[in-house]
Amino acid sequence: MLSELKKYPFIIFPIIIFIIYMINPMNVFVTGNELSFYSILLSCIIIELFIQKAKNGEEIYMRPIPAMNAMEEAVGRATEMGSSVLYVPGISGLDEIDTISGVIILGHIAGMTAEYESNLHVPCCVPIVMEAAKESCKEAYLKKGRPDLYNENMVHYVTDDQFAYAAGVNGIMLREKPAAVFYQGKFYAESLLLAETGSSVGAIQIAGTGSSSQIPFFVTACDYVLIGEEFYAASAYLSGSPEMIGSIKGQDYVKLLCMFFIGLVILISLMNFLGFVNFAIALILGFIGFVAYVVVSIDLSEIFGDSIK
Amino acid sequence: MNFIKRQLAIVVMIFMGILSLSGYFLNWDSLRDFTDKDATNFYMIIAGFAAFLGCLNLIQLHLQKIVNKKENWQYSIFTLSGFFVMILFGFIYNGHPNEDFTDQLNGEYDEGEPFIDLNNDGIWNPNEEFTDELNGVYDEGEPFVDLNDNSERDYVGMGPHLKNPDSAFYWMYNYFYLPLGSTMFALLAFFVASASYRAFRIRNFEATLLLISGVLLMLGRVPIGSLIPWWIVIFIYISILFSIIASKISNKKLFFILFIFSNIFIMSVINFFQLSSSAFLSIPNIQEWIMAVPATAGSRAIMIGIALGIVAQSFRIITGRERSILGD
Repeated sequence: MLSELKKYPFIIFPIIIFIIYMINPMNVFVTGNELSFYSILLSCIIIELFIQKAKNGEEIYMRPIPAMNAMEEAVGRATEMGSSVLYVPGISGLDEIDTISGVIILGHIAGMTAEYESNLHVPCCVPIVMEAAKESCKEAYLKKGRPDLYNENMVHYVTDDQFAYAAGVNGIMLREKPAAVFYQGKFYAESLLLAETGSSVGAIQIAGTGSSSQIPFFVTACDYVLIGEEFYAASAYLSGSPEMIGSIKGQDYVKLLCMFFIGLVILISLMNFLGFVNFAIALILGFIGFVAYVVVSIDLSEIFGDSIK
Repeated sequence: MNFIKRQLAIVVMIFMGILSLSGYFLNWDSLRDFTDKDATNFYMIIAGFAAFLGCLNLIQLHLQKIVNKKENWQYSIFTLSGFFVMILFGFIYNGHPNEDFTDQLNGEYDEGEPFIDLNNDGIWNPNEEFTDELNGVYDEGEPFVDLNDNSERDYVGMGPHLKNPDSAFYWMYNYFYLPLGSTMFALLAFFVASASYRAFRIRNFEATLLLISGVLLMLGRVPIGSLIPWWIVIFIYISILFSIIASKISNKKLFFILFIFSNIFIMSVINFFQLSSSAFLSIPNIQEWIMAVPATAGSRAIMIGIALGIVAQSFRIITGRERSILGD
């Protein structure tokens, strides 16, 4: 454990914050938010740990995500067919993390269209998103060494209204018949209107959203969908940098931790229901057992090397 | 310039990220006020200015299309017409029947008329003398042209007219904008039907499950669902089971006999043990169970994933690692 601390000294900082939050001197912290704070802190430590591991040159396996691999294929298909690529960044403003993720992914898609010399079309619903999207595209074209292909009108404003926007984008789809359509951002009831129209024009469709209620619609109408956390990991995945890949790995481990705790709570609840054990005591014991396991496994791996993992 | 576009932007991004997060955990009212109210207002102001850029972009794009007669340029005429008509009704033409009045001396004190302020309180009191004047403003009792015969003088200024049901802007909103929006929304019903058809096509086991749960949900949500007797539900169960094992039994005659026999046998057993009122034989109960258990479990799993993704993405942005949004 100590050697791990030496290897990753940043861990000391969140541990200090953790202790200060527990003590709460002079009532500095809000009471009642403890669980959120500890969960966020723990998640951040795990993500940072894997980022540092990746930085230190440790090889990190990244599970293949079909929708990510299909993005380049879709742009390539559009180029071959001589059609355009349509990118829909959702209907929310930049105060939504989904829209930010959508604009980040747009940067990567714009890089691909610059490389493949295909036309990109980005109709926006919110003016501030349009400005961010313009900057993102401009930089992507510049970075690929093709500023000549960038056109100010490729990113444009349609309207602020949800269904008017859906009508506008559907019109673009029906008139231009794009070969690839990307829906990446925050969507509401218009998701199915857009996806079904895209499907009817025969475009390859790749969607990604954090709106859990819209995911089923995209799953039925699109070819590939980035579900849940995959959508937020897309930009990191596409960037290909080890640092970013490390953060996705960390994210996966946090998910594993959540699964472990869900399983633990189910098991203890069942035992509590059957009258075998007190819920609170069992939960504390389970948590201590988990921490002990983590500490021991780290130390053993330090002593015996990789074979113990 | 590069400093402003890159380093400064990253510093602002990191600083604001940490500040917003701190506002949620630190017991400091000023900070919380800033993150909850001021920062949101900052965003609203910036977004408000961006609205002008959006309008300019719209005009520029469509004017270019019309002038250069690009493909489908005719549609741009409609877009621009709608845009300018709404500007006309919103900013220039009220459209409300403002009723004219005749300014008169009414022998009563009206706001703005000079008076002798005896008690120096700056307000006219009934015992203070005043000079009756024509003030150019409608005062109670002055004659007016009552266009809509409601015995009250109607006048709506620019601005408040946007919320007045008699204004032209409101009329356009009610009779153009809302029906068009509703038309688009109504299309959703047809798209849901076509999407459901695609999703329910039995291609694999998952699609079969989707079809079964979809049919049960649809039946459970309509009044006829509760009228379906228990023996039909048993028949549905057995049919589902036999549709799954159908590919395993090659002898169709045997398959048919087994199917009939299973139906008769299970219905007799249920009837004998008087289990016909059990919850699993009621379509509305099955529908409720599907919604409360498997559907909730699935959606919660996705919600947990989304929450984790948001934490990881925010962490990458706050620590300045995710700079793609700045074009890096």
